[in-house]
Amino acid sequence: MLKVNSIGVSYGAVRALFDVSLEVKRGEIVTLLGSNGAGKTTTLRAISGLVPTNKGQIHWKDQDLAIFNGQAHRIVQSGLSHSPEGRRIFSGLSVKENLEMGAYIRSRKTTQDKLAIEEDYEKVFTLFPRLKERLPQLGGTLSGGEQQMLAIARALMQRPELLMLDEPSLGIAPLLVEAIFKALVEINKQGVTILLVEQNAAAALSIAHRAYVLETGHTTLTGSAAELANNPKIREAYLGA
Amino acid sequence: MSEFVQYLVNGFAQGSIYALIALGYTMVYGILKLINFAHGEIYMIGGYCGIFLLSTLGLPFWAALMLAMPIVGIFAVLIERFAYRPLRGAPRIAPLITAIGVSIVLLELTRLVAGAQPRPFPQPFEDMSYELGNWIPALDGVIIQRNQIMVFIIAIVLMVLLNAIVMKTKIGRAMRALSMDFDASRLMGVPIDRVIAFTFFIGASLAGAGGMLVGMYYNQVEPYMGQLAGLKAFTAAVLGGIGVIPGAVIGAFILSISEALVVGYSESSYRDAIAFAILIVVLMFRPWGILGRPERVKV
Ligand SMILES: Nc1ncnc2c1ncn2[C@@H]1O[C@H](COP(=O)(O)OP(=O)(O)O)[C@@H](O)[C@H]1O
Ligand SMILES: [Mg+2]
Repeated sequence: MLKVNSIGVSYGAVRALFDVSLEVKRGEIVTLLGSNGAGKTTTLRAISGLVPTNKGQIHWKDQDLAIFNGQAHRIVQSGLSHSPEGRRIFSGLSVKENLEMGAYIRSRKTTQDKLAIEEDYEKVFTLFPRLKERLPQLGGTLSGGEQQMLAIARALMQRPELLMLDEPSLGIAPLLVEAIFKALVEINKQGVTILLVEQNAAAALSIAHRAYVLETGHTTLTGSAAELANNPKIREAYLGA
Repeated sequence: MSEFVQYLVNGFAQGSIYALIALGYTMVYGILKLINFAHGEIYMIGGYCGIFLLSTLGLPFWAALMLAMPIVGIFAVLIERFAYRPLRGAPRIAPLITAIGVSIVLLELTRLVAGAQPRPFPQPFEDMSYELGNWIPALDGVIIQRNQIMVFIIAIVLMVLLNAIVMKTKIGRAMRALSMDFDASRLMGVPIDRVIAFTFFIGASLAGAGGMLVGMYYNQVEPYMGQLAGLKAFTAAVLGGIGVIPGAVIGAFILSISEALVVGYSESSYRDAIAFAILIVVLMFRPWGILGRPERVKV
């Protein structure tokens, strides 16, 4: 469904990605591992059109994403959601308004459309009941874990086909990390394909079907999650074993 | 007592106009971090637009106001499109200098087309004034002109409308989101170019209304009127906290009332110095203004 073919990205004179290729098939959870600065965030930003690529192609549902010409808002509308690194919720908007921003691209023309949005609110609240209790609160006043839940919920309100998540475990209490990863499995079961960027390799490999390893702007290794979890190099570099 | 109330009345009328201009500064700054130096000229063009619609076309006042606002708004959208947007990724100083350039061009063009002399502004309403002493004996001698009431009411209605757009509509929510986080807004599917254009449109429409109202209030418009008014409205926006919408209104009224009191109790020639004094003091001691917050360093 998503096919990244040997892309490169530069920030001015700094080359961040040299040669990144990966594929995500419908229904999968794929994780992209790599140490700090390897280029994971940049890869996601390139896919969602926030930074331009200088080589390679990105195919999304049999379209070359180049047709969107870097217009990120049109890429989102095509069913590709991105919950960015650092959560990036709107701190001055209420929780409710943050979710409404998630539903920004949704059509409200027919009663059916409106019902679908209501349905998604309910789904999101079933997944993260805490958010329902905090609806009028400003996003900035939530705890880190709650903000992460809000960021995921906000992306789900877009009703994505593919959900990209950038380090959802970053800076969050272990108990909440577990809850969030459980939610990701549930979201995937409901039919959303997931591309998960993580530094927490153990957690990511425990829920993923397949994985890629990114090193200084190159994808160097790929395999099933089980294979990589048993690979001695991975165990040493990312699993601390 | 009466004297003081009279100065307040004058201050509130003038403050309404400052507020209409200051809102555009603050909204554009909130999103683009750009001080739109051409904004004072937009206000001035609103005044000339009013003369054209009222005298040349002979439209009634309300029709002229309703038309002048979108005309000036579209004008600002074009300026944004062709002067500022191409510089969106550039260092912040580039659009700033461009804005100064645009301001000079607009000023000189107006001078060429309309002449450097002040133009009389047709009076839409019969001159009328009310003596407050007739109703409240303690306020004996306080006079409110009908135009002052009109200016104040129109400005308040426009601000209530603006508040409804910003707080209650989808595009208003997108404007607020954009002022907090550009990339996150893009990831929500917000077409940022359109929202930015809309912000310029609304801000300029308000300034255009301010230009018409000031024409009505002082019976004339002139090409230079945007310079001082622009600086004062900018001061009001900074005083209230630039980027914070209610701050612009609060700052505008504090400035105008200070001016009215200084003119009343001391020397009217000090009037235009107040804004500079406030601007310097605010920038020295509280650059984020009354309602703003110190800018956090982003990690
Ligand atoms: N905005 C930027 N400007 C310049 N260099 C950047 C920028 N963002 C990231 N980089 C560089 O690109 C490389 C990849 O960064 P990133 O994609 O954030 O890695 P990761 O998410 O794997 O930690 C790093 O060397 C980083 O310093
Ligand atoms: Mg990263």
